Amino acid sequence: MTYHKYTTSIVVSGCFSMNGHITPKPKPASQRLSLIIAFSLMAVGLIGVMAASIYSDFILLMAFVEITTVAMFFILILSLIPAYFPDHVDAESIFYSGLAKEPYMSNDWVYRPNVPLLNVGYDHDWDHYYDRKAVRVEPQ
Amino acid sequence: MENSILPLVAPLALLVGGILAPLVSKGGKGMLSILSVFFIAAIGANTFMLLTVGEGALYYPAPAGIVINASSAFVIELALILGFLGAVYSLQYFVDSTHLGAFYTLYCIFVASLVVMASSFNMLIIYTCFEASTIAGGILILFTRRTSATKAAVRFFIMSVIGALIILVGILYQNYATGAFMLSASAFESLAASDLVLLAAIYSIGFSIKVGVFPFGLLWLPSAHSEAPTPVSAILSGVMVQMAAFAVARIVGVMAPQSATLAYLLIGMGALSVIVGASLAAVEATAGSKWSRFHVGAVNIRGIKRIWAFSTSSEVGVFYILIGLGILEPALLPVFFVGILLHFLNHGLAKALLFFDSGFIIETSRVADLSVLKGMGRKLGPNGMTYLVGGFSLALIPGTLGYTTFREFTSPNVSIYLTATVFAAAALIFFSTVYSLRCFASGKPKAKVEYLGTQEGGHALLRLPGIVIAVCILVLGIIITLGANNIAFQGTFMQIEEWLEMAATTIFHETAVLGVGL
Repeated sequence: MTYHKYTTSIVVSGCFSMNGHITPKPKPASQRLSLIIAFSLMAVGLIGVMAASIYSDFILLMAFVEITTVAMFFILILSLIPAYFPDHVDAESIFYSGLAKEPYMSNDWVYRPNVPLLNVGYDHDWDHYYDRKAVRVEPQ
Repeated sequence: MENSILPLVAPLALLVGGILAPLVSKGGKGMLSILSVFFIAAIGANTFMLLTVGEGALYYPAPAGIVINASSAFVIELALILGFLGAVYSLQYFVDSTHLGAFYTLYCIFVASLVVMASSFNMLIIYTCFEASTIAGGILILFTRRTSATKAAVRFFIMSVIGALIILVGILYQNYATGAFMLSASAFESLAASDLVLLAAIYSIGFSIKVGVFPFGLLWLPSAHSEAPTPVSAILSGVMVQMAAFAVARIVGVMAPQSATLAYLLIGMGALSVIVGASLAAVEATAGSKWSRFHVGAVNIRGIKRIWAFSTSSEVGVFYILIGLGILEPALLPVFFVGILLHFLNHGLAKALLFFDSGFIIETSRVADLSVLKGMGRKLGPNGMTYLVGGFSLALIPGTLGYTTFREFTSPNVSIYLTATVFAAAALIFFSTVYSLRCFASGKPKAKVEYLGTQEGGHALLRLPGIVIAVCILVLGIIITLGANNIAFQGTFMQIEEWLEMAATTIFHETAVLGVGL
């Protein structure tokens, strides 16, 4: 596949970038807020479990265990599993007028999920377990 | 039993340091300086407790919460020292310090959760810290920013959640049967023998996932430990899996279930883990992931860190063997638990060293695959020797700390078959160490490998932890080897042995004075 940087800009999860660099699409505000709430609930749950167990309050304890577990599952479902199994993105549905049709671009280039929870782009330099920027490997 | 605020100092110092460091400073050095102060405070407080707690215990604020006794202080000391070395290492490991603040915060939460996990007899606190370490550890794996690391983190999360759910079933069953969450012998006295065995089996299986014992460990451990950033790999392998094994020892020790079936189950899982893990480590070093399997990357490799991840899967089997033997022969439980403490020390130090040195080699050569690694020759420097020390310690060579495990498995209390299994695994680890080191020094890749720029760079901090740990392994190893054979240091050796015998009792009892406690 050939990539012409002057023909089209790279699109990242539906975001245009005019300078040809890969720009990760930021998470929607609502999703980020959900994540913050889930983490806060989990922290409260963890502290609560400790406190309730020290003071032997069984009802409160179970409530905090429940909160922690639900928050953890929510984080798992919201962030990690979607990143592991990304949705297929149809390039043509993103580009106008078919300008980015192959051979200029493929779906592999278009979809760039972020690292879950950290919300930064993946580092593809190490995909082959050596730093592509520092080492060139040619099979003999 | 004495009430004190000291047990809280280490976890609180880590939490406050982890949150404060990125808030106060934006630069990596500034963050590390602040973090170092809190780590040193934590280590200082714990060292004081380690030296003064003796046969008693310190608790805060109630005995049902956090309790520090000799065994807890011992394992926490190792966790804190390795954690501090990992924090120092991280400064140079992450060239781009953009995410270093978030990394340090999570890293401190991770270490703090492991510290609290080791300092409680309350199953709910152990469970909560188990969950906290899963969350923090899983996110830390993602900092490699590789797609394969995400896959590894998801595996780690899913397997840990399954383990946690099994433990939760155990906790509810324990509360239903005894009306308590505490691990105390008196609470289990009223329980029928069959219920006790069932409860111990539930806990052992639940924790075995986190420990990484065969067969569950292979599903997540090799990928998570090899894909994580190196300082995290060192803590995952050198501390986290061991803390989970320590928890199993504590639970089984307190419950003292009398069941040969359960004992053989644990011994079997441990023995299979020992031999399968070591074999896969050797296969990884020579033939690569195509044959060793359990790889989450897109291409087949001979992963440098994967060798040691498989080795961890092997070493944790030793804990399960010793716990199983303790169930089989209750009179010898303290003897086998001394072995657990010594293996905790040996494996913790050696594995952290091997990961730190592997990370140094990867960062210097910019290659994580032995197949494409050009020999580094003299660039290895002293870390070639330290790497060898770490490998030899795991291969149970006298003169290193590995001699402690050597002694344990050559004692008449252990079956000849188990001795043969452990020594076969040690031979495979010896081979993997020497073979991989040969590749580091003078590897000739089949592919044409060309460096696109100069590889000179500041890696002094990446060398440091390996050197510090190697010195510790050698000093302690020489004292124990010479002392045990009545050549020199007999007095020091006797003191160490007496202290460890006392500390081993505190794995399953709040104090070393039986009858005094909860």
